[in-house]
Formats: sequence, structure tokens, C-alpha cells
Amino acid sequence: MTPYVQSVFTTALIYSLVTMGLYITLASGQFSIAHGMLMGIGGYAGGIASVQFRVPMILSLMVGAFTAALFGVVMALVLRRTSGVLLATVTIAIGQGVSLTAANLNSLGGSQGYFGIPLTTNLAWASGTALVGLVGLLVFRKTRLGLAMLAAGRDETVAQSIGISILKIRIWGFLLGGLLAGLGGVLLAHNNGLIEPSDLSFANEPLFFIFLMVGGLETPWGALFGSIGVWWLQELLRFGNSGQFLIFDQADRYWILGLVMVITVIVRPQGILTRKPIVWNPTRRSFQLLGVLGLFRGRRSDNTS
Amino acid sequence: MTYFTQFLIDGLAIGSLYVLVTIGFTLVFGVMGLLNVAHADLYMVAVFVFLGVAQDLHFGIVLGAIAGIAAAGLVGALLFWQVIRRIDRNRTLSMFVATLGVSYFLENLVAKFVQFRTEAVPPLFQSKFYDVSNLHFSTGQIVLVGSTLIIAVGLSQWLRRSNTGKLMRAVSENTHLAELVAIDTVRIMAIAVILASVIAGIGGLLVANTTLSVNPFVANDVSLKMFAVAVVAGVGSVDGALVVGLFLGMIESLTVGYFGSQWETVIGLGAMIIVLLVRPQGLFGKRLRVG
Repeated sequence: MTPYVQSVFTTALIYSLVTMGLYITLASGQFSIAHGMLMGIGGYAGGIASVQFRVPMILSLMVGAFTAALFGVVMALVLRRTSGVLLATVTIAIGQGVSLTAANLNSLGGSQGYFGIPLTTNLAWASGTALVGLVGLLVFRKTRLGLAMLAAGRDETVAQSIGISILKIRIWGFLLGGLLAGLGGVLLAHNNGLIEPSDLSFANEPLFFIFLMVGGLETPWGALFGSIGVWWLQELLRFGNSGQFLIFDQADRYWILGLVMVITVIVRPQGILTRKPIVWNPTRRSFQLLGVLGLFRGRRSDNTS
Repeated sequence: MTYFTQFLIDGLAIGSLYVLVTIGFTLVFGVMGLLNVAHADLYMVAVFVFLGVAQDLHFGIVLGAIAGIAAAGLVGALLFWQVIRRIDRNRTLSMFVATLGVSYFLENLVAKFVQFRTEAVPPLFQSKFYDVSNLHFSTGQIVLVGSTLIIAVGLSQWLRRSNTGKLMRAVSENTHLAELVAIDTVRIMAIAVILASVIAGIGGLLVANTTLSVNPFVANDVSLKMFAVAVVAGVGSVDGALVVGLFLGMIESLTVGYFGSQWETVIGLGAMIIVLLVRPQGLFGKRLRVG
């Protein structure tokens, strides 16, 4: 593999960790939009550990993951009286607030970011950590707690009626989400050599949702393949930092990603990879695509209303 | 004391921005239960269309302003008919993610056209600056605060008295029951979204008239304040948004004046967390009955 391909895969795998964190929090029924912030907190903690205390990478990963998970738990406890869309609103605001606070703290490097972090992340570290995260999630889904979490994610009221504590589920959802996002953050900080307040801001959040929604939000595989696939699509649109791909130049790639997500949500709200194998019906699918473009008015999902 | 009053006056102008963006957001949230992240982007779209029509195409300020507001309404209508209506209403996550995608799409599309730069905006009219016993204010600020009060109070009265307004409140209270008594909920929702978008557009023009600059990603900062005001006021409450928005603007202005700008965001955030812990339905919100 050329260094370019390696670096793209590394970045994609780092993002896939954050997306897996987003997956597990959403799967537990907690509507959180603060994973960019949790990633950033992990990045700052891991970066500080590496720079100030010169700890080895593995320890710095642990420090970052632990700090982000702790922050997630605190957030879950503070916000325990809100849920649903309101919870989402507040997590956005907290993320933005933390980002602006980091930008104003001179000890964290202010708006320049915290830099001088050793460049230890490589493809091996990224893929190793992503593998641990993926396997961890797949195993966790089979445990008693994991099943309870998925049940609560489907229907909170029913889950509560059979004795599942929603507060416990929420804390675990935020804890695991923070843990995975924090791992991603540490890797990102050691990949770029710095971590900036803008990495934490709400402006980054859509990216993780694009990965997850396109990949599929029913399994951890969706988070992994969604990140890799969409990140490669984005690189393809950029075409190696120069020139053009078809009629698009590199400034076009972000709005195209936004459009890809909107279309995915409309055509296949559960994402490309689901728990069942993909059933491909080309005729029906192409009519649906025409429908998205406003050319064909077919059966709609909300025609019961 | 002079400084104090001056900060309050500046705060009112900042608060007006929050109010104008939040009342539309909170209206849509109340009627549809939709967290419309793209709402603050309509504010930005209106200003950029105004800029394009008035300055680059030389059609003049008036046509530009009309085009800007119309563009916000049009984008709102497209958002409703082409995106929100196509998604199952019970999938809250999908609805939210779709508006997130629309927001990302709009911001980056506009950013591409302006090469990711902050643009200067021509004023709507020549502002006069007054200086009364050491207090500075401009006609732009007066017009902004005045229009905010008119729009917010007007909207709240319209919701209370007009037929469509009453229907809208009915849908907001219980969509299913509203449907059962033969209210055309889709029409009401469409009106709510378009009305909210137009208000956001007007807000964008009035605020750009005092700040004289706009940036494609301004919505990220505005959204935060919008969420804070909506949550503290109680989601769905237009009157609450007016009071809380103006209040937050003034508090922020005082904080920046006396403690420094790094504390500006912390105020809104802190207020929001405290309100959520003590009174999750918001200061002006009604307690939701479950079941």
C-alpha cells in the first residue's frame, strides 16, 4: 500500500471508532449528538498524557478513553431528566460549549489547539484499536446488559415494564460511546500531531452521522464500513488533493456528502448494512430513486397519516 | 451606570437575533416535534441571496431583501415537501439526521460559492448613530429590536386569535387528535415550517444590517443560542422565547462587558443545564402528560 492509501485508511478507521461510539449510544435509545466533543476530550487527555508525562501510546489511549467515558457518564447523570429530542438539543449545546471553552483555555493551547503531540498513530494502531472496538461491541451485544440495551433502544416503555433500568442503560450507553469516541480522539490527536477546539465543535458532528446513516445503524459493521466507504468516497471526490473528479472539484465534496446522507435517509432509513442481508430489487429501488428526485410518486412510507 | 445601560442596549440587539431565530424553531418543534437543525441555516441563506441579488446582480437593496426572504421561505418549503414529508414521522432519528444533512449541504454549497470566506454585507438603510448622555445606539439597532417585538408579539397573538393559529396550537398539542377532528395537519405543518423560515430570513437581514458581515457557517454559533433559548423558555413557547432570548442577550452582553468574552457561552449553557435539572419542561413550558 502506498503511504497515501495507508493514511486514508488510518483516518477512516479512526473515524470508524467514533462512529461505533455513536452507534452504541444511539442503539441504547439515547439521542446524543456530542460524540465529536467526546472524541475531542479523549484527544486532549491522551495528547496531554503523551506530551506532559511521556507515557507510551497504549497508556495514552487508556487515559483518553477513560476521560471521555467519565465525561459521558457525568453528562448522562446531569441530563437524566431529559430524553429524546430535547436530550439531543442539549448534547449539541454542551458539545459546542466545551469546544468554545477549550478555545478559551490558554493551558490547552487556546484556539490554536494543543500541539506537539508525537505522531505515533499508524495503520497498525488504528486498525488494531478499531478491531478491538468492533469485537468488543459485537461481544457486548450478546451479553445480558447489551441485550437489555438494545431492548431499551427499541422501546423504552416496554423495556422499563420488564424491569430494565433506563438510567443504567443510559449511563452505559454514554460510557461506551465516550470510551470508543475517546479512543478515536487519542488516535486522531497522535495522527495529526495536534487537537484543536474545532475538532470538538458541532460543525464536525454531521460527518459521523453521515458515516453511520449510510453504513447502517443496526449493527457495528455499519459504523465500520460506513466510515471507510464514505471516507473513500470523499477522497475520491477530492481526488488526491488535486485536479477534478468528473465535474466536481474538491470544494464540492462536503455538500455532496450532505446530499448523500439526505438521500440515504429518505430511500433507506436503516442504512445500507442491516441485520438482514440486503435484498436487492433493482426495479423497485430505481422507482424509489426516481421518487426522491420528484419524478415518480410511488408508495410512501407515511401514507398512513 | 452608563456602561451598564450601554451593555443592556447592546444586549437587546443581540437578544433580538436569538429571538428571531428561536421563535421559528420553537414553533416548528412544537407543531411537528422536529428538531430542525437546518433552521439557523435559513438565516444564512437569506443573507447570501440578499447579497447576491442586491450587490452582485445590482438589483438594489429592496429587491434583494425581498429575494432573500423569499429564498428562505422557498428553502423551507423544499425542506418540508422534499425531505421531511418523505420520512416516516415516527422515526425521530431519521427526521433529525435528514435536517442535519440538509444543514451540512446548505452550508457547504453556499461556502463553495463564496470560497469559504466571510462576506461584507451592505446595510439595508443608512444607519444614524445617536449619542444621548454617553449612550450609543443606532437606528439599525432600534429597527432590529422594534421589528423583533412586533414579529414575536404578532406571531403569538396570531397563534392565539386567528383560525389557522388555533389549528396550529391544536396540532401542537396533539397531532393524532387534531387529525381525528379533520384538521389538515400536513397543511398546518407546511404553514408552520414556511412561516418559521420566512421569520428566520427576516431575522437574517435585520441582524446582518447591524453586524454588516456574514459567514457560511454562522449557523453553528447561532444554533447553539437557539437551542439554549428554546430549551430554557420551554420548547414550543413563542412568548417564552421572546422573554428568554432578550434576557439571554442582555446577560451575555453584561458578562462580556464585565468578565470577558470567554464566559459568553458558558452563561447560556449553564442556564440550560440548571433549567433542565430543575424544570425539564422549561420556564414557560407546559408539563407534558404521558399516557
